[in-house]
Amino acid sequence: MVAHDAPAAAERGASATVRVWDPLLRVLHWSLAAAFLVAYVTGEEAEVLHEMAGYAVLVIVGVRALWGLVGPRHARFDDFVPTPTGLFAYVRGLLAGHAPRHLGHNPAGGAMTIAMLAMLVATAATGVLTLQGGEAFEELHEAAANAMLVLVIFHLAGVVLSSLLHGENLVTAMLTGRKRAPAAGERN
Amino acid sequence: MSYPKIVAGTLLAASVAVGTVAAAGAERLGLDPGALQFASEREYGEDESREDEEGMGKGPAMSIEAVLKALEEQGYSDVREVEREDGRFEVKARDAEGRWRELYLDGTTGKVLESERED
Repeated sequence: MVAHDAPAAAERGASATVRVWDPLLRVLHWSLAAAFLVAYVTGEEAEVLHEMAGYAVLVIVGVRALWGLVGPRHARFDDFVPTPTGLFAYVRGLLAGHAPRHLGHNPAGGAMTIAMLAMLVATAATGVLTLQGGEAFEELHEAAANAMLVLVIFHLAGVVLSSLLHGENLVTAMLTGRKRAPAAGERN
Repeated sequence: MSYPKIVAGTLLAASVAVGTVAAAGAERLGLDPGALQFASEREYGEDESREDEEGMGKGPAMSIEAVLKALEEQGYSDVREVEREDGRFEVKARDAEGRWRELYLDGTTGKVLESERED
């Protein structure tokens, strides 16, 4: 920040950050992370807990999808589901070292969000089928769960990379819901 | 309708569909102790479960021979009509007193779960 901006920023106080993630979205995010973690860890052991965690995942994804239709601006899928063109342009920029900051999900983050939600539904679906006597689905269920874990790892890597690139802590942002207000000319 | 909205709608529909199938299945499993037993077969011993897995997806977890042997050990004879249904076996056989019985067996252990008189 340049020196003559400092008083202005101090004057604005809390308004230097803006609300991006609404409370429901944050609760859904962290409970989904917890439910997947529990389901993954109990995959070979506690059946009741594993099933409950799986059903929780299903409910959370369903509510998130509904929130993606009717929720506030940055929760809406319209705000972040990228077009293939937009996604590739962003990734090309990222590789070239200039990825623009987005207040909501950037195109890669948006694509990852959709990929994870879809993979969770696929994992839950194959899990339900395995449970209902379709033992043939068991391997598919495990493959889906492992693919999901890989997506989670890429998601975390993306969060770290994006946080470093734009000098902000995106984990804190998902906890508080607030992010630094966009500078002039920045996309939001 | 925008393309992101279609993505959201698809995810919503898919999760509702899977939930419906799960609820319908849970109801069915709840009424069917044999199937529940089948679902929790991981609790069985290592050798047993490996044996089960060999027959998985291809048909009964227990072979008919194993079912006959299990019935004999439990005092039944003259086994007729062995059917597999929802992870359980349904058989007709004579009990130790020589009466005809309709039996429901656990699909992985061959244990008699229910016994009805067959007239």
